[in-house]
Amino acid sequence: MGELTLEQRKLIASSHTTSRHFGRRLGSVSLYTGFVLLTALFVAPIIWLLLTSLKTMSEYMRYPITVIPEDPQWANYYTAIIEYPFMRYALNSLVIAIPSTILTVLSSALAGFGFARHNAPFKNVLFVLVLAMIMVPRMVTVIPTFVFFSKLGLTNTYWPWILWGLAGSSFHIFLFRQFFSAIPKDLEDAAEVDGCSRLRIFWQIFMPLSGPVIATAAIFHFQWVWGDWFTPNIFLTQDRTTLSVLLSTAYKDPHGNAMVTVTMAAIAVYLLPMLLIFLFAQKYIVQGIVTSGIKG
Amino acid sequence: MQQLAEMTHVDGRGVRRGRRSKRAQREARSFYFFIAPWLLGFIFLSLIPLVFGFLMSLTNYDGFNIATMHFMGLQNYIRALQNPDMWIALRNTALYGLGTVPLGLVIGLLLAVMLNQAMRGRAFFRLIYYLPSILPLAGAVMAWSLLFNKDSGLVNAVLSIFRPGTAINWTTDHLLFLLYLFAWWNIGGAMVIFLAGLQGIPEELREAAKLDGANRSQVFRLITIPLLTPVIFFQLILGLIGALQILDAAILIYGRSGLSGAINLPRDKYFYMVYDYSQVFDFQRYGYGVALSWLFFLIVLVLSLILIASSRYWVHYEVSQEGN
Repeated sequence: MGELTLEQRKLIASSHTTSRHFGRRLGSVSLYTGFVLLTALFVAPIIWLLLTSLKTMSEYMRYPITVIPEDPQWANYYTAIIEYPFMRYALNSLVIAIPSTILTVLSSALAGFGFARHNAPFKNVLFVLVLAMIMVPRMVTVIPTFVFFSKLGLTNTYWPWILWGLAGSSFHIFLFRQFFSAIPKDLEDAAEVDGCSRLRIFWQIFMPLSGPVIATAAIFHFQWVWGDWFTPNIFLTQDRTTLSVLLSTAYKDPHGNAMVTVTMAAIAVYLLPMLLIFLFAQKYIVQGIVTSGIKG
Repeated sequence: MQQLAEMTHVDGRGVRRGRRSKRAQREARSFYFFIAPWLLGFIFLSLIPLVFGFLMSLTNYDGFNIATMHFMGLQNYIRALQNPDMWIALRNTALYGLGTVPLGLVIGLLLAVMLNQAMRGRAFFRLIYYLPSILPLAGAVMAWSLLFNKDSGLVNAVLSIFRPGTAINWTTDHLLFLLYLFAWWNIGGAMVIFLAGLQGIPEELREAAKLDGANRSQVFRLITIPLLTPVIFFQLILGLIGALQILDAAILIYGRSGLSGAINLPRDKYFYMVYDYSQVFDFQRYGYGVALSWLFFLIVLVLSLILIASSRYWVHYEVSQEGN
């Protein structure tokens, strides 16, 4: 093809831009379709759980299956929560999770402050130990700890969670240390000139500044204890154990048949606090992770 | 570990040398005061159990036989290496790690990048994708096995639309695949970490590259990915250690016989930690069980060290850190 006239060039240019516009629009439509499809995949298990929790056992076992419960059984929730000892185990879970969360966050914040704002002999070695503990598989320490605790009569009590809470957690120590390291030194200096003790500087200056990190650490830890099946299953017997262990096997009716739909109602209620906390605090979680600079 | 040690050395106050002043002493005392709870916990709940556990792995201890307990050297370790169950468990665990860790990184990163661009509804999508990973594990697993139930699950019902009468027994016939899917459902955790990493990359860098004529894929390849490598590394190590320890999800999907009952999982479906757990808590083989866990520790350690050693070739560490 020889020289293009101006008209031809314009034509080509305009067709280029329209096709690009069209392509971009098509791209964003398919992108959205992808996102919506993924959304459906991600929430399907939760929706399915809720739908199942409203069915009767006979509807649940029917074939072909129904999706929408034909006669929603709200009574399943009553049965799950009131007629079965849901509340007692929920209380056990809370009695373990709340002190454990408070202690872990506090102890991790203290250690994080220590590592972030002080120089001392062996500091770096100790901090490497903090991080190295993340790499130790839990079974390596759990088996001997179980032997110790059972000899000390601490199994089937909630003391282990108190002790673990006091020790803090490597991951959260790291979070707090990263966050505290980034705070300007001037604040601390001014307080020190005024004769503030280190503990007061920690409590009255650093802690009030670290809302998002405290929220992140507390939510992650609470979620972990609330969902933990492994530890209570080992350290507690049936009547003192937590909701997660209770719900890991289906409720049985007096004839020993599994009451799947009632169990699902109980699980829905079990998931609820985490969903609420999460919806309420999701802004802080991302912010907490960003500000504490997990990127190392 | 070298890398970690370097990462930790960011305190910018300068090192005081020579005469240790009173101030420095006070500072050290105060340091040990603040870390005391952790340090005590570390000594009594980590260090002593580690040492004691290692000694236990050299004996035939079963929880009660103090009188007949004796030293057996490395016999527990040799038994473990000769046991076909251990190898089956190890193979399954390796397959699980291979199927979840690399894909977890790729999909997590992809989602994070797509949800980091300005678009309508992005906060909503982030929230939804992150949601499954904050659900308590025990409940999430129950929801999962309900969805994949052979007779009444939604998945088989949907598949039946295309092939009538589909009744795949996911738990018994495709356990590994079921657990892959479960892990991918929980991809939101990785996504959020990557989102945090992406938001830590200064916008000026990308802008500057664009001004220099780089297109989007070049910016991604030459700016975003290199600056994200520390996060990828962090996620790789933690993801690997977490994935290889798979235990609860496998046991819970299969169920157990009774509240305190033994594991229902058939032997050919064991994962390493499931095997270990069952040896200790179903059969009271404490010595053997700790030996198994130490063997596993060794494997994890070697893998981590290889990754850490490799990181100097591909992880891009910024020289200076903010706030110092």
